[in-house]
Amino acid sequence: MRVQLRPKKKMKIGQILAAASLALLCGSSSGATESDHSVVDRESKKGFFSRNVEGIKKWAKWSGELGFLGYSETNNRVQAWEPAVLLNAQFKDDKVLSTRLVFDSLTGSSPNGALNSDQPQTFTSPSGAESYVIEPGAQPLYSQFKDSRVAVLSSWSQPLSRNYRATLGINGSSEYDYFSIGINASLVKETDDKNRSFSFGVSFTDDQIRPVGGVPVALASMGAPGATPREGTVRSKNTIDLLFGLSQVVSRTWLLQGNISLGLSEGYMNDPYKFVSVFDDVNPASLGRPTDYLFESRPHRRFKRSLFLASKNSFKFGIVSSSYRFFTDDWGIQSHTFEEKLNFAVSSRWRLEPGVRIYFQDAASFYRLGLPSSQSRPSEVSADYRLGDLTTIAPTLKVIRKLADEKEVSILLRYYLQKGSTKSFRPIGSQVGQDLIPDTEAYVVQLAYSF
Amino acid sequence: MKNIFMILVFVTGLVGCSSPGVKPWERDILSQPEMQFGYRALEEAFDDHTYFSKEASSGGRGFSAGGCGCN
Repeated sequence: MRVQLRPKKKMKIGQILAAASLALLCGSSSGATESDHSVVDRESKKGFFSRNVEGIKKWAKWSGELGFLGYSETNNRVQAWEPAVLLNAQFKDDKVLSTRLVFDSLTGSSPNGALNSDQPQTFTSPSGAESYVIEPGAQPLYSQFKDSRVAVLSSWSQPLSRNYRATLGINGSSEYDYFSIGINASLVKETDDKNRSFSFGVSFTDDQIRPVGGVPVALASMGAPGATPREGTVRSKNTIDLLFGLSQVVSRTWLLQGNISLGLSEGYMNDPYKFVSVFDDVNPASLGRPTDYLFESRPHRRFKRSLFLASKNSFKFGIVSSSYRFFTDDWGIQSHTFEEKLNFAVSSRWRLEPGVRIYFQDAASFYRLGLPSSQSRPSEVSADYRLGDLTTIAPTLKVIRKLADEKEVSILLRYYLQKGSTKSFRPIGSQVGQDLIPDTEAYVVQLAYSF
Repeated sequence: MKNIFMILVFVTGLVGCSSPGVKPWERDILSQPEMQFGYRALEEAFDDHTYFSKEASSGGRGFSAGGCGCN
């Protein structure tokens, strides 16, 4: 909730963006020689150019952000680059058109879900065409992981009356194996004194999943290259989300916010590239060693619920932002997320924002590190570490430089440490002494320019 | 769900029992950008995407915009 309209912003960057767009539409001047005719022609175009920039300047008030995310995990695991741009155009009567464009590029190695072994392990690649070998004692990682994604989100927001505001949005994203499109709508009601607001939102998303090499048969054995079990090429997943929100100005220095979110997804939710190891728990000579690798199988339905509470409190020494999220679903997952930030001025132009995020997660009911060969196979099982018992801590430091005209540039540095737990798994035979759930460590840098 | 309702009762009581709020001329501190929820939309989107890709939970602040094969 915005408790007060933000001050007007000058639109120098907006002019640049608008001019760039206009330049693309108008095309470039041609001709290699500098004749009087060319000079006059160029000057007249400049006048045309300036007049249109002025026109666009009066057309809307521009603001936005340019951002870049760099993410790098240790041990040659996932690396990601993500440039993004957000543009807001505010028209008269407080109507706002907002558009965000994001580009993701991921490379590196990704865990394939299988357990470590004291012997070499051979796996079939996600495409089903090749194989790769993991050396003894190493975490099974698929090292050719590559993915690119483009996402566009756009929304139109306008007042319906003095205290009501509505927003309609669309979003879409595309990867080589995943396509998503969605729509959303929300309504915000403020009290007359603007001290309290109620919000309600709904969104629908349709996802199409096209796994490389085809859709693997759930719970089937991995198979050799060229012989992996597949059933079709595309699956879908649909999601509906509801959001109920409440914001309250408590005092001159204190804001509170609370959200309840409900989400229901139905359809294909497996990770088609993840395996579950079946290990020998019978033969003393090979206890703990893998005997088979199965494609995972998750439920076809997921009902998520979360409660989010946030507080912003201004003190003499700075602004403290606190938040807590409780999350649960019908997969048996429960999590608690705590986040604290302190934003304070170092000088008239420099600010710092140290922070920390702590996260606790209980595993999904169908999560298994591996399956004993003597036991019957469950109908639903996944060894994806992200569904397991997790604890993460992420300290952050953000440095902000305030610029003229209420612009600012910032750099954020974060260290992310995720630890899994084997509390529900008893290692046997060759598994003893293996690092069955290696930590996930990552370094994050975020650059941002807001105007 | 019981925990959720208890917290909701607490929050409702907190905001309902006294007279929270300010007059229009008392919004000087609240008008600071750092006091706005959703102050840096792009940064929050980066954060949400990073955490959602590595954990089983998602959302809370608002709608997760733009599906992906992350989790």
